[in-house]
Amino acid sequence: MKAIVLNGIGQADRNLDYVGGIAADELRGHGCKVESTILRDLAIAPCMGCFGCWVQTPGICLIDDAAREVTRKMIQSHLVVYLTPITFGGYSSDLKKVLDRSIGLISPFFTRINGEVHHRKRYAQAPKLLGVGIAHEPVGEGARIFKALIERNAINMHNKAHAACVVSEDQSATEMHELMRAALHELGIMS
Amino acid sequence: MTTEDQRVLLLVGSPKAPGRSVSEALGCHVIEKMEARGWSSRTIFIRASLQSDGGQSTLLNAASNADLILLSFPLYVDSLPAPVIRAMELIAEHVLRKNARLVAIANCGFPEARHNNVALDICRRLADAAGLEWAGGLALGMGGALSGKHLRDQGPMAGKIIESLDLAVDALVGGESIPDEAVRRMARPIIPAVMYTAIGNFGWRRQAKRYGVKGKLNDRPYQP
Repeated sequence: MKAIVLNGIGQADRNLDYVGGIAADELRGHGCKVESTILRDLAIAPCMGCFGCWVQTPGICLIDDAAREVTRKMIQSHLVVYLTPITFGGYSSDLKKVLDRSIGLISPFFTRINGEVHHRKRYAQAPKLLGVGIAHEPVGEGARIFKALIERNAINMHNKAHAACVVSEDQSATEMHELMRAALHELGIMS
Repeated sequence: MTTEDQRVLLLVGSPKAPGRSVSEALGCHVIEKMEARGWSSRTIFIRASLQSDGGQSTLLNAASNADLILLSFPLYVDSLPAPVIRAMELIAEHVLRKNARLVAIANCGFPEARHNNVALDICRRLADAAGLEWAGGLALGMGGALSGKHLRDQGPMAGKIIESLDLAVDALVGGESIPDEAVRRMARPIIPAVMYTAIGNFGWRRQAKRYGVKGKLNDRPYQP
Protein backbone atom coordinates (compact mmCIF):
# COMPACT_ATOMS: atom_id res chain seq x y z
CA MET A 1 0.00 0.00 0.00
CA LYS A 2 1.38 3.38 -1.04
CA ALA A 3 0.92 6.22 1.42
CA ILE A 4 1.86 9.84 0.98
CA VAL A 5 2.16 12.09 4.01
CA LEU A 6 1.53 15.74 3.21
CA ASN A 7 3.41 17.36 6.04
CA GLY A 8 1.96 20.82 6.56
CA ILE A 9 4.02 21.70 9.62
CA GLY A 10 5.28 25.21 8.97
CA GLN A 11 8.62 26.79 9.65
CA ALA A 12 7.46 28.26 12.96
CA ASP A 13 6.30 24.83 14.20
CA ARG A 14 9.37 22.81 13.27
CA ASN A 15 9.51 21.54 16.84
CA LEU A 16 6.50 19.39 15.87
CA ASP A 17 8.38 17.55 13.11
CA TYR A 18 8.75 14.50 15.32
CA VAL A 19 5.01 13.88 14.93
CA GLY A 20 5.63 13.31 11.22
CA GLY A 21 8.19 10.69 12.16
CA ILE A 22 5.73 8.95 14.46
CA ALA A 23 3.08 8.93 11.70
CA ALA A 24 5.54 7.51 9.17
CA ASP A 25 6.66 4.78 11.62
CA GLU A 26 3.06 3.83 12.33
CA LEU A 27 2.25 3.64 8.62
CA ARG A 28 5.28 1.47 7.94
CA GLY A 29 4.21 -0.75 10.80
CA HIS A 30 0.96 -1.25 8.92
CA GLY A 31 2.76 -2.34 5.76
CA CYS A 32 2.66 0.98 3.95
CA LYS A 33 5.35 2.23 1.63
CA VAL A 34 5.58 5.79 2.88
CA GLU A 35 6.59 8.96 1.09
CA SER A 36 6.74 12.04 3.32
CA THR A 37 6.54 15.41 1.64
CA ILE A 38 7.59 18.42 3.69
CA LEU A 39 5.45 21.06 2.06
CA ARG A 40 7.26 24.04 3.58
CA ASP A 41 10.36 23.02 1.63
CA LEU A 42 8.58 23.13 -1.72
CA ALA A 43 8.00 26.20 -3.86
CA ILE A 44 4.25 26.07 -4.34
CA ALA A 45 2.32 29.09 -5.55
CA PRO A 46 -1.21 29.66 -4.28
CA CYS A 47 -4.19 28.76 -6.45
CA MET A 48 -5.22 31.62 -8.76
CA GLY A 49 -8.89 30.61 -8.83
CA CYS A 50 -8.85 30.43 -12.63
CA PHE A 51 -10.37 26.92 -13.03
CA GLY A 52 -7.81 26.28 -15.76
CA CYS A 53 -7.31 22.80 -14.27
CA TRP A 54 -10.91 22.09 -15.25
CA VAL A 55 -11.45 23.91 -18.55
CA GLN A 56 -8.03 24.56 -20.13
CA THR A 57 -5.80 21.61 -19.26
CA PRO A 58 -8.31 19.22 -17.65
CA GLY A 59 -6.83 17.52 -14.62
CA ILE A 60 -3.59 19.53 -14.56
CA CYS A 61 -3.07 22.89 -12.85
CA LEU A 62 -1.88 25.66 -15.15
CA ILE A 63 0.87 26.63 -12.69
CA ASP A 64 3.91 24.49 -13.42
CA ASP A 65 5.49 23.99 -10.01
CA ALA A 66 5.90 21.31 -7.34
CA ALA A 67 2.17 21.09 -6.65
CA ARG A 68 1.64 19.21 -9.91
CA GLU A 69 3.89 16.37 -8.80
CA VAL A 70 2.38 16.28 -5.30
CA THR A 71 -1.10 16.14 -6.81
CA ARG A 72 -0.09 13.30 -9.13
CA LYS A 73 1.31 11.36 -6.18
CA MET A 74 -1.87 11.95 -4.19
CA ILE A 75 -4.14 10.30 -6.74
CA GLN A 76 -1.65 7.48 -7.32
CA SER A 77 -1.52 6.59 -3.62
CA HIS A 78 -3.80 4.29 -1.67
CA LEU A 79 -3.70 6.57 1.36
CA VAL A 80 -3.16 10.31 1.72
CA VAL A 81 -2.28 11.70 5.13
CA TYR A 82 -2.89 15.36 5.92
CA LEU A 83 -0.50 16.17 8.77
CA THR A 84 -0.96 19.63 10.17
CA PRO A 85 -0.95 21.77 13.25
CA ILE A 86 -4.63 22.51 13.81
CA THR A 87 -4.89 26.12 12.74
CA PHE A 88 -8.07 27.78 14.01
CA GLY A 89 -9.68 24.35 13.59
CA GLY A 90 -8.44 23.93 10.03
CA TYR A 91 -5.23 23.22 8.17
CA SER A 92 -2.01 25.20 8.15
CA SER A 93 -1.47 27.48 5.17
CA ASP A 94 1.36 25.21 3.98
CA LEU A 95 -0.98 22.23 3.70
CA LYS A 96 -3.89 24.25 2.37
CA LYS A 97 -1.79 25.65 -0.45
CA VAL A 98 -1.37 22.21 -2.01
CA LEU A 99 -4.97 21.18 -1.38
CA ASP A 100 -6.25 24.31 -3.15
CA ARG A 101 -4.10 23.27 -6.10
CA SER A 102 -5.50 19.73 -6.14
CA ILE A 103 -9.04 20.37 -7.37
CA GLY A 104 -8.04 19.11 -10.81
CA LEU A 105 -8.33 15.65 -9.25
CA ILE A 106 -12.11 16.01 -9.38
CA SER A 107 -14.43 16.96 -12.21
CA PRO A 108 -15.99 20.39 -12.63
CA PHE A 109 -19.38 18.81 -13.30
CA PHE A 110 -21.93 18.77 -10.54
CA THR A 111 -23.54 15.73 -8.98
CA ARG A 112 -25.66 15.13 -5.92
CA ILE A 113 -24.39 13.24 -2.86
CA ASN A 114 -26.64 12.71 0.14
CA GLY A 115 -28.94 15.49 -1.01
CA GLU A 116 -26.13 18.02 -1.47
CA VAL A 117 -24.46 19.21 -4.65
CA HIS A 118 -20.78 18.33 -5.05
CA HIS A 119 -18.39 17.85 -7.94
CA ARG A 120 -18.22 14.52 -9.75
CA LYS A 121 -15.29 12.13 -9.57
CA ARG A 122 -12.57 12.41 -12.18
CA TYR A 123 -10.76 9.22 -11.24
CA ALA A 124 -12.47 5.90 -10.59
CA GLN A 125 -10.50 5.41 -7.37
CA ALA A 126 -9.56 8.12 -4.92
CA PRO A 127 -7.23 7.29 -2.01
CA LYS A 128 -8.31 6.86 1.56
CA LEU A 129 -7.82 9.98 3.67
CA LEU A 130 -6.30 10.21 7.13
CA GLY A 131 -6.18 13.56 8.89
CA VAL A 132 -3.62 13.92 11.67
CA GLY A 133 -4.13 17.19 13.49
CA ILE A 134 -1.74 18.44 16.12
CA ALA A 135 -3.60 20.45 18.72
CA HIS A 136 -2.73 22.36 21.81
CA GLU A 137 -5.41 20.31 23.52
CA PRO A 138 -7.00 17.13 22.10
CA VAL A 139 -10.60 17.79 23.02
CA GLY A 140 -12.17 21.07 22.15
CA GLU A 141 -13.66 23.23 19.48
CA GLY A 142 -10.57 23.14 17.27
CA ALA A 143 -10.54 19.34 17.20
CA ARG A 144 -14.25 19.22 16.40
CA ILE A 145 -13.84 21.62 13.46
CA PHE A 146 -10.80 19.69 12.21
CA LYS A 147 -12.74 16.42 12.15
CA ALA A 148 -15.67 18.10 10.39
CA LEU A 149 -13.28 19.52 7.79
CA ILE A 150 -11.75 16.10 7.09
CA GLU A 151 -15.25 14.68 6.67
CA ARG A 152 -16.30 17.45 4.28
CA ASN A 153 -13.07 17.08 2.26
CA ALA A 154 -13.62 13.33 1.99
CA ILE A 155 -17.07 13.90 0.48
CA ASN A 156 -15.88 16.52 -2.00
CA MET A 157 -12.70 14.70 -3.03
CA HIS A 158 -14.46 11.28 -3.15
CA ASN A 159 -12.03 9.62 -0.75
CA LYS A 160 -13.28 6.09 -0.36
CA ALA A 161 -12.75 6.12 3.41
CA HIS A 162 -11.65 8.75 5.87
CA ALA A 163 -10.62 9.12 9.49
CA ALA A 164 -9.24 11.91 11.62
CA CYS A 165 -7.12 11.73 14.71
CA VAL A 166 -6.08 14.61 16.91
CA VAL A 167 -2.90 14.41 18.92
CA SER A 168 -1.66 17.00 21.35
CA GLU A 169 1.81 18.29 21.99
CA ASP A 170 1.81 17.10 25.59
CA GLN A 171 1.07 13.47 24.70
CA SER A 172 3.74 10.82 24.72
CA ALA A 173 4.90 9.11 21.55
CA THR A 174 3.15 5.94 22.75
CA GLU A 175 -0.16 7.76 23.07
CA MET A 176 0.24 9.27 19.62
CA HIS A 177 0.99 5.85 18.14
CA GLU A 178 -2.16 4.47 19.75
CA LEU A 179 -4.34 7.24 18.35
CA MET A 180 -2.89 6.87 14.86
CA ARG A 181 -3.26 3.09 15.00
CA ALA A 182 -6.93 3.43 15.93
CA ALA A 183 -7.48 5.81 13.02
CA LEU A 184 -5.77 3.43 10.59
CA HIS A 185 -7.94 0.59 11.82
CA GLU A 186 -10.98 2.80 11.27
CA LEU A 187 -9.80 3.02 7.66
CA GLY A 188 -9.55 -0.74 7.45
CA ILE A 189 -5.74 -0.67 7.41
CA MET A 190 -4.50 -3.40 9.73
CA SER A 191 -0.94 -4.28 10.69
CA MET B 1 -14.98 57.70 20.35
CA THR B 2 -17.33 59.15 17.73
CA THR B 3 -18.74 57.23 14.78
CA GLU B 4 -16.37 59.19 12.56
CA ASP B 5 -13.43 57.62 14.34
CA GLN B 6 -14.56 54.08 13.54
CA ARG B 7 -12.49 52.21 11.02
CA VAL B 8 -13.44 49.16 8.98
CA LEU B 9 -10.87 47.06 7.14
CA LEU B 10 -12.04 44.93 4.22
CA LEU B 11 -9.79 41.95 3.57
CA VAL B 12 -10.56 40.44 0.18
CA GLY B 13 -9.69 36.74 0.20
CA SER B 14 -10.17 36.00 -3.48
CA PRO B 15 -6.95 35.64 -5.48
CA LYS B 16 -8.62 37.24 -8.49
CA ALA B 17 -7.63 40.70 -9.70
CA PRO B 18 -9.43 43.72 -8.26
CA GLY B 19 -12.87 44.19 -9.74
CA ARG B 20 -13.26 40.52 -10.69
CA SER B 21 -14.38 38.67 -7.61
CA VAL B 22 -17.69 38.07 -5.89
CA SER B 23 -15.85 38.37 -2.58
CA GLU B 24 -14.88 41.93 -3.39
CA ALA B 25 -18.36 42.82 -4.63
CA LEU B 26 -19.91 41.58 -1.38
CA GLY B 27 -17.35 43.34 0.79
CA CYS B 28 -17.50 46.60 -1.13
CA HIS B 29 -21.23 46.84 -0.65
CA VAL B 30 -20.76 46.67 3.11
CA ILE B 31 -17.91 49.16 3.04
CA GLU B 32 -19.88 51.71 1.04
CA LYS B 33 -22.82 51.46 3.40
CA MET B 34 -20.58 51.87 6.43
CA GLU B 35 -18.83 54.87 4.89
CA ALA B 36 -22.26 56.42 4.40
CA ARG B 37 -22.74 55.96 8.14
CA GLY B 38 -19.55 57.86 8.94
CA TRP B 39 -17.00 55.03 9.10
CA SER B 40 -13.66 55.26 7.36
CA SER B 41 -12.49 52.26 5.39
CA ARG B 42 -9.54 50.53 3.86
CA THR B 43 -9.47 47.59 1.44
CA ILE B 44 -6.61 45.10 1.16
CA PHE B 45 -6.31 42.21 -1.28
CA ILE B 46 -4.73 39.44 0.75
CA ARG B 47 -2.94 37.50 -1.99
CA ALA B 48 -1.23 40.62 -3.34
CA SER B 49 -0.34 41.88 0.13
CA LEU B 50 1.47 38.66 1.05
CA GLN B 51 3.79 38.87 -1.92
CA SER B 52 6.13 41.35 -0.25
CA ASP B 53 7.34 42.16 3.27
CA GLY B 54 6.00 45.67 2.80
CA GLY B 55 2.59 44.33 1.86
CA GLN B 56 2.51 42.13 4.95
CA SER B 57 3.41 45.08 7.17
CA THR B 58 0.67 47.14 5.57
CA LEU B 59 -1.84 44.37 6.17
CA LEU B 60 -0.84 43.93 9.81
CA ASN B 61 -0.80 47.67 10.51
CA ALA B 62 -4.23 48.04 8.95
CA ALA B 63 -5.51 45.14 11.07
CA SER B 64 -4.04 46.74 14.19
CA ASN B 65 -5.83 50.00 13.50
CA ALA B 66 -9.23 48.57 12.58
CA ASP B 67 -12.27 48.58 14.82
CA LEU B 68 -13.93 46.07 12.54
CA ILE B 69 -12.21 43.59 10.24
CA LEU B 70 -14.43 42.29 7.43
CA LEU B 71 -13.08 39.16 5.80
CA SER B 72 -14.76 38.30 2.50
CA PHE B 73 -13.56 35.14 0.76
CA PRO B 74 -14.49 32.33 -1.62
CA LEU B 75 -14.74 28.80 -0.28
CA TYR B 76 -11.77 26.69 -1.39
CA VAL B 77 -11.91 22.96 -0.64
CA ASP B 78 -14.33 23.44 2.25
CA SER B 79 -12.18 26.07 3.88
CA LEU B 80 -10.49 29.39 3.28
CA PRO B 81 -7.98 29.93 0.47
CA ALA B 82 -4.40 29.27 1.59
CA PRO B 83 -3.30 32.94 1.46
CA VAL B 84 -6.20 33.86 3.73
CA ILE B 85 -5.10 31.24 6.25
CA ARG B 86 -1.57 32.62 6.04
CA ALA B 87 -2.90 36.11 6.72
CA MET B 88 -4.88 34.73 9.67
CA GLU B 89 -1.74 33.08 11.06
CA LEU B 90 0.04 36.44 10.91
CA ILE B 91 -2.86 38.45 12.30
CA ALA B 92 -3.29 36.09 15.25
CA GLU B 93 0.31 36.78 16.30
CA HIS B 94 -0.17 40.52 16.06
CA VAL B 95 -1.38 43.01 18.63
CA LEU B 96 -4.79 44.25 17.59
CA ARG B 97 -6.96 47.09 18.81
CA LYS B 98 -8.78 46.42 22.05
CA ASN B 99 -12.45 45.52 21.46
CA ALA B 100 -11.90 45.16 17.72
CA ARG B 101 -14.36 42.86 15.97
CA LEU B 102 -14.21 40.30 13.16
CA VAL B 103 -16.99 39.54 10.71
CA ALA B 104 -16.80 37.16 7.74
CA ILE B 105 -18.63 36.64 4.47
CA ALA B 106 -18.06 33.31 2.74
CA ASN B 107 -19.29 32.51 -0.76
CA CYS B 108 -19.20 29.18 -2.54
CA GLY B 109 -19.98 27.80 -5.97
CA PHE B 110 -22.34 25.14 -4.66
CA PRO B 111 -26.05 25.85 -4.45
CA GLU B 112 -26.20 25.20 -0.72
CA ALA B 113 -24.84 27.95 1.52
CA ARG B 114 -24.16 25.42 4.30
CA HIS B 115 -20.99 24.27 2.51
CA ASN B 116 -19.45 27.41 4.06
CA ASN B 117 -20.19 26.44 7.66
CA VAL B 118 -16.83 24.88 8.51
CA ALA B 119 -14.98 27.85 7.02
CA LEU B 120 -17.01 30.24 9.14
CA ASP B 121 -16.26 28.11 12.21
CA ILE B 122 -12.58 28.57 11.37
CA CYS B 123 -13.07 32.35 11.20
CA ARG B 124 -14.74 32.29 14.58
CA ARG B 125 -11.76 30.40 16.01
CA LEU B 126 -9.43 33.02 14.53
CA ALA B 127 -11.38 35.69 16.38
CA ASP B 128 -10.86 33.78 19.64
CA ALA B 129 -7.17 33.26 18.96
CA ALA B 130 -6.54 36.87 18.00
CA GLY B 131 -8.55 38.37 20.84
CA LEU B 132 -11.16 39.75 18.48
CA GLU B 133 -14.85 39.82 19.20
CA TRP B 134 -16.70 37.56 16.76
CA ALA B 135 -19.49 39.60 15.15
CA GLY B 136 -20.85 36.75 13.04
CA GLY B 137 -20.66 35.31 9.56
CA LEU B 138 -22.73 35.24 6.39
CA ALA B 139 -22.76 32.28 4.01
CA LEU B 140 -23.71 32.58 0.35
CA GLY B 141 -24.31 29.70 -2.05
CA MET B 142 -24.51 29.90 -5.88
CA GLY B 143 -21.63 32.37 -6.00
CA GLY B 144 -21.05 31.23 -9.57
CA ALA B 145 -24.22 33.05 -10.58
CA LEU B 146 -22.69 36.39 -9.62
CA SER B 147 -19.72 38.40 -10.85
CA GLY B 148 -17.29 41.01 -9.60
CA LYS B 149 -19.51 43.87 -10.68
CA HIS B 150 -21.07 46.07 -8.04
CA LEU B 151 -24.05 44.27 -6.52
CA ARG B 152 -26.47 47.02 -7.53
CA ASP B 153 -25.53 46.33 -11.16
CA GLN B 154 -26.20 42.60 -10.96
CA GLY B 155 -29.95 42.73 -11.31
CA PRO B 156 -32.66 41.04 -9.28
CA MET B 157 -30.46 38.04 -8.38
CA ALA B 158 -28.55 40.28 -6.01
CA GLY B 159 -31.68 41.59 -4.31
CA LYS B 160 -31.79 39.33 -1.29
CA ILE B 161 -28.03 39.56 -0.92
CA ILE B 162 -28.25 43.35 -0.71
CA GLU B 163 -31.08 43.03 1.82
CA SER B 164 -28.94 40.71 3.93
CA LEU B 165 -25.88 42.95 3.79
CA ASP B 166 -27.92 46.05 4.64
CA LEU B 167 -29.31 44.29 7.71
CA ALA B 168 -25.77 43.29 8.66
CA VAL B 169 -24.52 46.88 8.29
CA ASP B 170 -27.34 48.21 10.48
CA ALA B 171 -26.29 45.80 13.21
CA LEU B 172 -22.55 46.30 12.86
CA VAL B 173 -22.65 50.10 13.03
CA GLY B 174 -24.79 49.74 16.13
CA GLY B 175 -22.15 47.58 17.76
CA GLU B 176 -24.19 44.39 17.41
CA SER B 177 -23.54 41.06 15.75
CA ILE B 178 -25.01 40.04 12.41
CA PRO B 179 -28.68 39.20 12.98
CA ASP B 180 -30.19 35.81 12.15
CA GLU B 181 -32.46 37.37 9.54
CA ALA B 182 -29.42 38.56 7.58
CA VAL B 183 -27.96 35.05 7.76
CA ARG B 184 -31.24 33.54 6.51
CA ARG B 185 -31.62 35.96 3.60
CA MET B 186 -28.04 35.46 2.49
CA ALA B 187 -28.46 31.68 2.54
CA ARG B 188 -31.61 31.67 0.38
CA PRO B 189 -31.02 30.20 -3.08
CA ILE B 190 -30.72 32.80 -5.82
CA ILE B 191 -32.31 30.48 -8.37
CA PRO B 192 -33.55 26.86 -8.17
CA ALA B 193 -30.66 24.47 -7.54
CA VAL B 194 -31.53 22.32 -10.55
CA MET B 195 -31.31 25.34 -12.82
CA TYR B 196 -28.06 26.47 -11.22
CA THR B 197 -26.31 23.13 -11.70
CA ALA B 198 -27.60 22.77 -15.28
CA ILE B 199 -26.31 26.25 -16.18
CA GLY B 200 -23.05 25.50 -14.36
CA ASN B 201 -22.47 22.24 -16.23
CA PHE B 202 -23.24 23.97 -19.53
CA GLY B 203 -20.82 26.73 -18.59
CA TRP B 204 -17.92 24.30 -18.01
CA ARG B 205 -18.47 22.80 -21.48
CA ARG B 206 -18.69 26.23 -23.09
CA GLN B 207 -15.45 27.37 -21.45
CA ALA B 208 -13.69 24.14 -22.43
CA LYS B 209 -14.84 24.59 -26.02
CA ARG B 210 -13.26 28.03 -26.04
CA TYR B 211 -9.92 26.41 -25.14
CA GLY B 212 -10.39 23.55 -27.59
CA VAL B 213 -10.67 20.84 -24.94
CA LYS B 214 -14.41 20.17 -24.84
CA GLY B 215 -13.88 16.45 -25.47
CA LYS B 216 -11.20 16.21 -22.78
CA LEU B 217 -13.06 17.50 -19.76
CA ASN B 218 -13.11 14.04 -18.19
CA ASP B 219 -9.47 13.20 -18.98
CA ARG B 220 -7.42 11.44 -16.30
CA PRO B 221 -3.87 12.64 -16.91
CA TYR B 222 -2.52 11.07 -13.74
CA GLN B 223 -4.21 7.69 -14.15
CA PRO B 224 -1.56 5.14 -13.11
